[in-house]
Amino acid sequence: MSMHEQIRNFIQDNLVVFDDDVEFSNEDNIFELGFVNSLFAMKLVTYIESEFNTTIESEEMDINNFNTIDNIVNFIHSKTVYQ
Amino acid sequence: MKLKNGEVAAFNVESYFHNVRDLLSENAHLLALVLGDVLRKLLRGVQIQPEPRVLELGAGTGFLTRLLVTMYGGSGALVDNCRTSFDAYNRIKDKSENRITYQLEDLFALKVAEPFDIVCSFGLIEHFKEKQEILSIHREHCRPDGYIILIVPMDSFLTRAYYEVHPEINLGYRELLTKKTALEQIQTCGLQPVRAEASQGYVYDFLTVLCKG
Repeated sequence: MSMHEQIRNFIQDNLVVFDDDVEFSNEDNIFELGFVNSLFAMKLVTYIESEFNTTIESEEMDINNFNTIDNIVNFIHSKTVYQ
Repeated sequence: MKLKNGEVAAFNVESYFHNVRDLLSENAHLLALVLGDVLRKLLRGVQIQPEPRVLELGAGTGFLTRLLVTMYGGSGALVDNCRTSFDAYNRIKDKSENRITYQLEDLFALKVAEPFDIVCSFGLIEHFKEKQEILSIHREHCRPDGYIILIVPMDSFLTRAYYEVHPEINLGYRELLTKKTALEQIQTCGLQPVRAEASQGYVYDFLTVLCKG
């Protein structure tokens, strides 16, 4: 499974909308779309840390790192490149 | 304001004010990240009871407890006497929050069967000029080996600007505290601060203080 798919699955498991037709692209802002609740951002941080064996530092807690699937994947790649 | 080409730019004060208001407006997703980050710093190395029982006083929509339960597991009890907050909580809670209960009650009249592992409040104690009684309530419901988490808006330029452009939320008494004055007041009231951390990157600054139960 690609990292994009992995992140998409995690987001889909945490959707707060119950519409089977919910669709979002890799560039869509998941927070602005209202598909996830207000606690999801922190849930995502915890998930990334455990799933990708990394630590997210204070200065990386920028909402722009987590608002689209593409940004999340790029952020994880940047972490693994510099590890 | 005169532009380089000599024309005078129109300056609309009302529009400018609303732009600043929009810029400094609450964002729950950002709050989760900033609050989650500061809580991790505050609780680093602290032995939290597994599956902690959390009590939040003056809970509003219980954002702090909901986040703590998301991060550390356990269960939560929210107490607030505001019907509007209670209704708002019921609108936003999701299925994963069935470990949280809400008591619509005056926190000063609260009776609990058993003290909690963590007692917390977010934006409560700054509304009390005399803090002895409200801080005593925190301690009363906390286990002797438990922890108290106090979160207050911090006295800073950003926080003052935030409240200045949001006059609709300036209802009643609110005392903005610096880290030094907050710790002094908390110690004067008999609590033992263990650590204090300030938030970074939210639309206002807030101070988090961890105390022994």
